Amino acid sequence: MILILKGFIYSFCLFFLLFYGGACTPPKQSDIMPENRTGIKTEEILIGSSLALGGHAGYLGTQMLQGAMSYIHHINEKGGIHKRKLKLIALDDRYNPTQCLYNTQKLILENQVFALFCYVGTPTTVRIIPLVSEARIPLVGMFTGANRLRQPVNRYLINIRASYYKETQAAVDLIVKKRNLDKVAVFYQYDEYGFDGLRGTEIALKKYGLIPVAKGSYVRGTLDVEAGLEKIIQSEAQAVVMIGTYDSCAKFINLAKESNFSPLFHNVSFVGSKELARRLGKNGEGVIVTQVVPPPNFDRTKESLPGVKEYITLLNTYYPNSKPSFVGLEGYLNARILTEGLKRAGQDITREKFITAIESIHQYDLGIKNPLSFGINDYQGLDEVYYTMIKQGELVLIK
Amino acid sequence: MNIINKLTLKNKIFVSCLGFILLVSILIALFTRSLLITGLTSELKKRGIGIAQSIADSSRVYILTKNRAELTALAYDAKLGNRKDIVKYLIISDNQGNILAHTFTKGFPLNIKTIVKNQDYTKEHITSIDVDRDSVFHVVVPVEEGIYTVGSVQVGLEKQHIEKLISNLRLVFLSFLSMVSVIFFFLSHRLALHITKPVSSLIRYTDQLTKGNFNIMSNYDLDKENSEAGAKDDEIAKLTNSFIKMTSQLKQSTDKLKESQRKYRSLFQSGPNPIFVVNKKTFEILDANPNSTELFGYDREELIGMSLSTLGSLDDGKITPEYSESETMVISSKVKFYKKNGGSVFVNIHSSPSEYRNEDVIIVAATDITELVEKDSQLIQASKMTNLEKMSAGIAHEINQPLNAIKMGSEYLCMMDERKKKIEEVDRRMVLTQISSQVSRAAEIVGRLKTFSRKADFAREVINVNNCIRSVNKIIGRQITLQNIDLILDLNESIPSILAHNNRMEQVIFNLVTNARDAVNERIELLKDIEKGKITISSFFDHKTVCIDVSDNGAGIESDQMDSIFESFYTTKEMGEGLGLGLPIIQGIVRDYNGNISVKSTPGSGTHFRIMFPAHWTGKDDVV
Repeated sequence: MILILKGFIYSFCLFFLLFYGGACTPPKQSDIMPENRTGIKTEEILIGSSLALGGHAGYLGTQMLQGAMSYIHHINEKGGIHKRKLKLIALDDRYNPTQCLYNTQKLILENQVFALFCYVGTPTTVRIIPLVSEARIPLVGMFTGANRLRQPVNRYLINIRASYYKETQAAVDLIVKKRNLDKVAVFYQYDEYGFDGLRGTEIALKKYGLIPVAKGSYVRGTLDVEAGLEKIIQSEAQAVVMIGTYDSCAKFINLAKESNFSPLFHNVSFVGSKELARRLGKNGEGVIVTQVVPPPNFDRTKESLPGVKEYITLLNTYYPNSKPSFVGLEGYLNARILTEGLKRAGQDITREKFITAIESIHQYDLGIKNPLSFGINDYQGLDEVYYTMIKQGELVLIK
Repeated sequence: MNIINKLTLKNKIFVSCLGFILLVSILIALFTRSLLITGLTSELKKRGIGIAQSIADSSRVYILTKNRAELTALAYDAKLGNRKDIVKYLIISDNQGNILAHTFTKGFPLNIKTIVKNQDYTKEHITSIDVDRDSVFHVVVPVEEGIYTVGSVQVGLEKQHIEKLISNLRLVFLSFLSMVSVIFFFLSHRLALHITKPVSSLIRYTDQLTKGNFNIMSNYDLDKENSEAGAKDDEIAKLTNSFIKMTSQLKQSTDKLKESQRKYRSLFQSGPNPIFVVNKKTFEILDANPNSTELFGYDREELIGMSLSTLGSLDDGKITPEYSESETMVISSKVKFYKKNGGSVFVNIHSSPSEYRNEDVIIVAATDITELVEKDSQLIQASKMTNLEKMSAGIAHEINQPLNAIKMGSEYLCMMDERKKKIEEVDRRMVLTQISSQVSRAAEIVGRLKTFSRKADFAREVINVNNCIRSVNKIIGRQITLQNIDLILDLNESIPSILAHNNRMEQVIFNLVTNARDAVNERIELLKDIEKGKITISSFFDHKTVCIDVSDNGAGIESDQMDSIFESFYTTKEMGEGLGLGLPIIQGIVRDYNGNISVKSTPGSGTHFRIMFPAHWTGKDDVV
């Protein structure tokens, strides 16, 4: 009997072999790729960035780049990281996903950068996720709270700011819980960014058993907000959660005020609050913007946050013509994290070591009273959301 | 094949079932595999061309404007979603073969630029190439504006994708086949058991039968009723039935055999004669019955292992003759055997071939005829005495003659002495010589009588029959001559010797001669025939036989009496003249020495007796 069993097992093995023969191809080259040191030179670390430096979102990109560059200049002047200076190659994509993709491919292949940094916008950044995953290149600090960059968790996408879900959640909390308003409309940009915000708002409203009373949208890069506005006015909404950019949102609010429609306007951080406030003028009174970083201005009444203080100091040093902004502060914070990661990764830095170093950043004090933590399978740094309200053209932090 | 042959029936069935299933599975697997690969490959190519064509349609305008960003985006669009698994890369080139856009993010493979450059991008085609050590189908689809080609879309399709698909399918298929195999494993196991279980119980019962346990048959029937109720009409059931029949037959014959064995055993044990079981070649005694121990005085244990020739001398040539099957034959009569205490017995040896414990043996029955032999010799003696009595007158005359001669001679000497006459020296010597020779003659006659009348034993010695004939002639020759009968001796001096005893041979010849004399006298007296009586004794030899003929011209024997002449106490003579034992005794003696006696007779003209003995060749005689 044992003999038979043995025979049976042998034949089964043979059978397996025959059937599985040919399946045993050698593992793909990329799976056993050696530690990648692309972009690491003896005296330089190349960092690439594709962001909107011109066009309708040009303000965002420029501000962010200046914020980041002011800190990078500061570091480079202090001797760089492990005697290597950071060199940032920034390409303008004009907030166009196609161009962003092309730029990114160029940065990876032609410029051979070590990491990607400070991307601006949801549609642009979402478009390059496949490239990032395929090339296994770290992307640090995206100026977007899109959920697509956070779920599913991707080791190469290092998010610093809080997500749109967090922001819309906070907006809905404020509207429904604190102001006791239950007629909430959503105005959004008809693209990845807008959808993300819409979804976040809907999820948050669902928790209170509510649905948006109206949804209005506009196409990215246009100012065609009238149709959306009409829908929302008709719904007699008490509050409007706005997921868009400053130009369209400003037009929306101005047009609404002209039509004597003044619900609670609630914007998210991506809107570009400084520019929004400027464009709204006195129409901006009472407009709320959620922020993922604290307001970048000296509060004479209170002691300033050290991080904000350093940002303003450095910005004034390197870009004296620029005014501090939320986006700029975010850029500055992104640069802080990038350099911290590079520092921790050590002299023999590789992309994988860099990400491991990022993972090791825990309860890190950026000087904004909002400690930052990463971890294994946690590439979401900050979670706190700040509420600001436009008061006399200034953004004021509210509790 | 050897391994297969060594397996039990159950395992043979089991293994063949499994082997068959595995073989079929493997064949199906291989067939499906090749089918899948072909099907999937062509499907992959179709999809690749489809993708390339859709990209080609969208990219036309951007190729013309050389908008690389849009082309790149288009190229990456081709890799979105699940197409990511199929499309390894996508390249958009212009009509010079320059790459306008591509989807490589980890650097250009070394050979790709040349490959792209060398493509014939005016027509759609697929080639198989290696990129980055991966095998890909390189699909080229031209982008046309009007009738001219402005560029091409080239897609690399991962062959590995097919393998992945196949390996997924393979897993499903394999689990299915494994399940089937496992089911068949148990099924064939059950099947094998179903077939072989009755067989093995049959084997078990057969084993028990071999051990002689016939009682299991009833158990078997019960078992069969209980457990094999379902399978009554199949071959196994038939086999079982015939097995049962066979067994009952076997049981009957075994019983018969046992009975017969018991019968023969009791015959062997209680038979009146000693019986030995003797090895055919060595004459070693293998078994002996109680009677033999009683007769010979040996214990059974002593007898077993002893050679039969220790008991008595056997003629080796005779004890192992060419037997025909199951024939019993006397091979020796009146053989002298010795007891343990030295005493002797006469036995007749009967033997028949047989088998005993897988050996060729001879069953030797030794009939004790000592008493018979004793009686025989007494009888012979009596008959001899009768003859002597009848011839006493002749013998007396025979002795008287020399006595008379002596008397005459001595009286002559006395007379001459009384007369004081001088006897001539010549006469005196003659007289003395005559007296002496006459004394010798008388002494010889007396000696012969003495020898003749002595009771002989059965010892065999090498003798020449001529001597016996002469000796008889000396005793009664003269007497017969006196009765006016011619006694003619016609002896061949070169005859070989025989194994017999002088005294007894003499008695045989003596008896025959006296019978012949009586026959002649009877003829003369009764028939008043005046023809002179004549008795001829001749000896001669023929091949291996020594013959003695005694013929006369006497009254002869009537043919109706011919059958009775060798019967005891049959006589034609008058009461008181003979006992009727003469010829039976002759026949007995002749047969004792393995001889033969025959008679031819013509009433009124004579009788012819012939005695034949086997010649005894000694080395000396061989020369003759």
